Amino acid sequence: MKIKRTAPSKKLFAFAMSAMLFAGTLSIGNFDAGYAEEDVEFWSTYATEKILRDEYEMYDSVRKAAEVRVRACQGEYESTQLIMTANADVGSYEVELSDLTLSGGEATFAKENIGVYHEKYILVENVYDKNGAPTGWYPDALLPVETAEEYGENKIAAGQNQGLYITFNVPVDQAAGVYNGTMKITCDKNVTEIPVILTVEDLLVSQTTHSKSKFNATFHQYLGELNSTQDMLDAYIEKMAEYRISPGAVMHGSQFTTSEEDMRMYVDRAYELLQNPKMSNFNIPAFTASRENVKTIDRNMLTKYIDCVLEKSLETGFDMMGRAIFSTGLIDEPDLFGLMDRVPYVCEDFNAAVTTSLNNLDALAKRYPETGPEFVEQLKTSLENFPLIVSMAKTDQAVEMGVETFCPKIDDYDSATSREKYDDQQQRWWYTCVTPRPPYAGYHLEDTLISARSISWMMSEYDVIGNFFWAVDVYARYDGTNYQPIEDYYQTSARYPEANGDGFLFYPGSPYGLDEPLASMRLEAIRDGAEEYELFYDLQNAYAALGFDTDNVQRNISSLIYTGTRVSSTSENFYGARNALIDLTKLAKTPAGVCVMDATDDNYGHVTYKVYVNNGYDLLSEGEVLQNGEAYGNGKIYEISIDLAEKNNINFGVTIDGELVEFDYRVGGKTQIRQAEDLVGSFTENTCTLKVELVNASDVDASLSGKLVALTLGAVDGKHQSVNFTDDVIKSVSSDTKRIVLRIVNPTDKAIPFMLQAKFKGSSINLTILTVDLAPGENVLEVSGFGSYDWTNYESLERFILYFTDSVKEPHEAQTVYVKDFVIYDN
Amino acid sequence: MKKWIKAVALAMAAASVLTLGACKKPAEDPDAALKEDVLLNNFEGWAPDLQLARFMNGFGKISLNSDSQYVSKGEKSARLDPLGWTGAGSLPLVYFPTQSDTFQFDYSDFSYVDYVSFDIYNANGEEKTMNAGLVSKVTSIESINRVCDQEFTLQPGWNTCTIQVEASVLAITADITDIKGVYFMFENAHSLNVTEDTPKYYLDNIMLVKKDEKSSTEFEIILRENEIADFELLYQQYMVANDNPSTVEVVNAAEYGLVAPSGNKVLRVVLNGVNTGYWKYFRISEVLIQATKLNGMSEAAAQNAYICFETYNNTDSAVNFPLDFTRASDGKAFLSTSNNCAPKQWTSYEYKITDILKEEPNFLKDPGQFLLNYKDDSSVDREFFFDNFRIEFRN
Repeated sequence: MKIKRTAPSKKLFAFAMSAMLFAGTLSIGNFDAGYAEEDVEFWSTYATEKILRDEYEMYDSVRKAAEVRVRACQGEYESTQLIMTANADVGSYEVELSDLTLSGGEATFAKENIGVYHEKYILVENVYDKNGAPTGWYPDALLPVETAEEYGENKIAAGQNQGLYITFNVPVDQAAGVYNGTMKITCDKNVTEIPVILTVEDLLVSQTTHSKSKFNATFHQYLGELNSTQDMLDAYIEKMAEYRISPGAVMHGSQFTTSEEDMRMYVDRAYELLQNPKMSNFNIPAFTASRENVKTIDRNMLTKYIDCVLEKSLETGFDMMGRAIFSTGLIDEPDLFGLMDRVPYVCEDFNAAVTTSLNNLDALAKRYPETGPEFVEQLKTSLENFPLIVSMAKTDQAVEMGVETFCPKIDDYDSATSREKYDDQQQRWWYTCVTPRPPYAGYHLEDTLISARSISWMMSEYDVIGNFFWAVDVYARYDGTNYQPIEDYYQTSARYPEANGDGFLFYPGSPYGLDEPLASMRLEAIRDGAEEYELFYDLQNAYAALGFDTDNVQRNISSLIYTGTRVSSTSENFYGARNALIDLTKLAKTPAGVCVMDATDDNYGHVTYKVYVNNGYDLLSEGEVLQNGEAYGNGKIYEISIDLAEKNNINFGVTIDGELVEFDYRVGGKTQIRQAEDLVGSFTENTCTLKVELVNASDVDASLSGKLVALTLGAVDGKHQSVNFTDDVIKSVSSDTKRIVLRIVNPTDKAIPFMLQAKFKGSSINLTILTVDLAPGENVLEVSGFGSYDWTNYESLERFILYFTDSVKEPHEAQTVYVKDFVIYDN
Repeated sequence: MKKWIKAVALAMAAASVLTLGACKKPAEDPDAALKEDVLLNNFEGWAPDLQLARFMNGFGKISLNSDSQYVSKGEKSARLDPLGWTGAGSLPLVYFPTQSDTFQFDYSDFSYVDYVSFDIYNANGEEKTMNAGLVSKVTSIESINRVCDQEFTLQPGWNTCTIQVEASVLAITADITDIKGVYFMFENAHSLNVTEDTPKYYLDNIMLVKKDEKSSTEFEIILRENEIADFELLYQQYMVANDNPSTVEVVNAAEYGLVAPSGNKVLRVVLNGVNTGYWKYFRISEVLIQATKLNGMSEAAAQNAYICFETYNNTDSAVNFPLDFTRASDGKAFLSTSNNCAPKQWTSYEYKITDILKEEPNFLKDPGQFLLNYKDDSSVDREFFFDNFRIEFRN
């Protein structure tokens, strides 16, 4: 797709004319002379955007000034992007960085801590996710810019974008403040200076990774690296640790045998890798046996490995057992691949191995008399909690078979009801792969980076400690039966059928003379999310120390990004949520101990925050000291209310050592409220006769006031009872809609099945967006996630269809339901 | 009644007529391009020379070398550090494809290839052996079929080696017009990483040297009634292969003090004792299996049919040598059947074909190679003999 040129600025044009005067002899086709600066447009965008190589107009809403601006905490990596849009060929570009200097201070931020990466593009020819994303060249692999220069890849063809991914690695002891510097980019001898502004917050991201993960790294890296050594696998695992993800096996399965010596070698290897606190766990290998003609795990080998891990723990004083997990391909997705018959055997053999090792523990501990009984007890607890992780959703059958740690797909955590199934698990795990597809979070190439990053946010909110992804290094293509060779390890987007990007997050580094792999933008998003998980971990601990929990405020800020496990957000909203997270954590960790105890919305656009602050500190809002706080424990609680019709930001803060530490947060956009009186003409027949009238709410339910729209649905046989809901306000539902709220009153004493469908102009198929039972009385129904719909194809919303039956097999008598009101919240 | 093997060799001679001083132009040779020598790989850059390299069996490491003392042609060569998977004791193998869509070349038609030559520098200060040959089929990244395997003893320093393309042998199990690559296989170095002590080589200048005469491309497999493999006929030796340390050969049973269950010759397999604990296999080629009555047998005929063979376990312990059945279409084993062999005697194996069909109903339309499995759990070499693979029809 051709790139539309922007009108060059006058300043750039003048500079270009000056440059041309000094350029010397003009020769046609010579980029050295006659090159005009406006031939490259510089602009920035969020790290969460994927700027395709050949697209331009579609990024109008996320195109920002030509600067590098990042807000980061101490001890974290944080990134942004600078895009070069070339309107003429660029034969080569070079990047030069300066150290950044602290504004108003002497500290510097070393340029060595700034990574600049040339984004490599991978062709996506089919958009399997059907999420409205275009086909085209997607940025993914990140090549250090100096390597791009060395290998001659630092060029840009006319009509194309070239992204620079810029990552700040903030040292844990970097002084807080605003740092300024310059990035010089020379395109064919034309130099452009880009301002660099880094804000370092006085907040440390934990250097220990508290979440768990299993990202297998022993598939095919050797094919792309031409290196199958343990050194290369170590390089992959060590790089993964820097990205806050842990491997499954720490050695390739064909590198070791069942000998004692090899077992010790494996455990020693895992121990060494675990000394990096950013690596959280490792997988004890499974060996295959057969029992009653059913394939299962070798329980004797598992016992030996567990004993070896325990012994290493006793020897070193490091609880390796607490870092161990167990999963086996023997029962990977057993419900999908017809392997359920193996499950009870594997569970039995696993439990037998654990029991044997528990029995062996005391004898092992006696070999290390210097070990204290508390540590031995800790090891015992770790072993009792050692999980057998089974990649499937929870079923009664599997529970009967002995499964305790289910690892369902991420969409099984979408609803509160579904999440409850896993409440009794000591560790909660989930995974994503080919499915689920957007709007559920995942790592596909055509999905957004917000999606990849939000997985860790969801893990924190839903108390899911473990994230399983089947492979980071599929450097081959699965044809349905076998893996086949590929010729270009930087292309072939669908290496697993119908899933772009599934199975690989790295790219080979050896072709570039590197001893480690290239990371991808998706991996960067994963790390960013994992670091935000640590911020939530910190926030939760700070709140807990003050006697509060973060459930409410966490949902409040996360609602900008996702609902359930479905992502619907913009980069602007995402960073709004991230900024809120940072600010809340900072506030909670000040001596003022500021905590948001409650954040409620009455679903009519009235938002109220209840904020706690320790005695001795004033809580300010919009610069004014709040009065009339209610005494609570060692402090006071203040209420701050906002009417979204008038105001969209909430602001509060405290002064610590003369500096204001504040929380300034966009709560949401405007609301549109349609009362019953407004809606009475909005309902028409669909599959049954319909009578519509306006009634007094108190006549239906004495606790209600105002008016209701009575919908009397005629009797049907062989059909549903459903009505169309068309109102002008519905046409305003778009990708900018945060959520809708529909209140329906069920006058009976029984549940009424309810389904809400949406009919879009550009689709002949109705989309079901809500299925629920209407309880007796008033039901407040919320639907969000509109930002994740395929609006490119849907175009606009024509109407909603309300169904009040769930089956056409039996006849339905006439019934009356009542609609109270309808509210639309904008982002 | 036995029929002798009939090898059909098609000799084709290119003829050209030259008329001096005449207005007629000589007829163009349609195979002229195929007769041109090909520099398959000179290892001058990562792409395409190394990029297309196919690692197998935990090869080790391959990199570009620019030290001129290890370059025989051009500016660079490939440095090979063959290791193999330490646990599995596999033989490190790398092959270089003869065709590429990305880089747009196709040298897979070996009809006119006389031999493949390559230069290899043995940088180990002592003699080393290696094997090289041709890849006839690529089933997956982990499974290839090899033909024309030849062993080379490399002296320290430069060696120029040639892989003779024996078309008559190649035609037995492969399509000479569709050779997928040239492979190089080394000994396992028993090391997880490249060190000063692990072997290293420098490879350069792989040439496909052509001849004027076109090689024969047809081979007809002829079998006795209901035979699968009786090893009486020479060609069947090429139908059996083992990618693991072993000896596989057809011998006269009497020379080993045995009486062959059928005829005079038997298949002798010596498994080298690596003791990795892994299950490994040798295979009987699907080309042979598909030439037997199994291929296309009707279900009616299969009702009382059995696959049978004999095994002589020349060790002191009982051994299970399971036979796996595979599909030709994807090379996947779908059924593993026990073959428990008592020591120092012939053991008969039989398996009812209808039981195979229960696991894979399409087996008779798509029979693949037979895999004879063994557990590599011995430190000493073990010797076995096999004979009389056949189909028995019973009442």
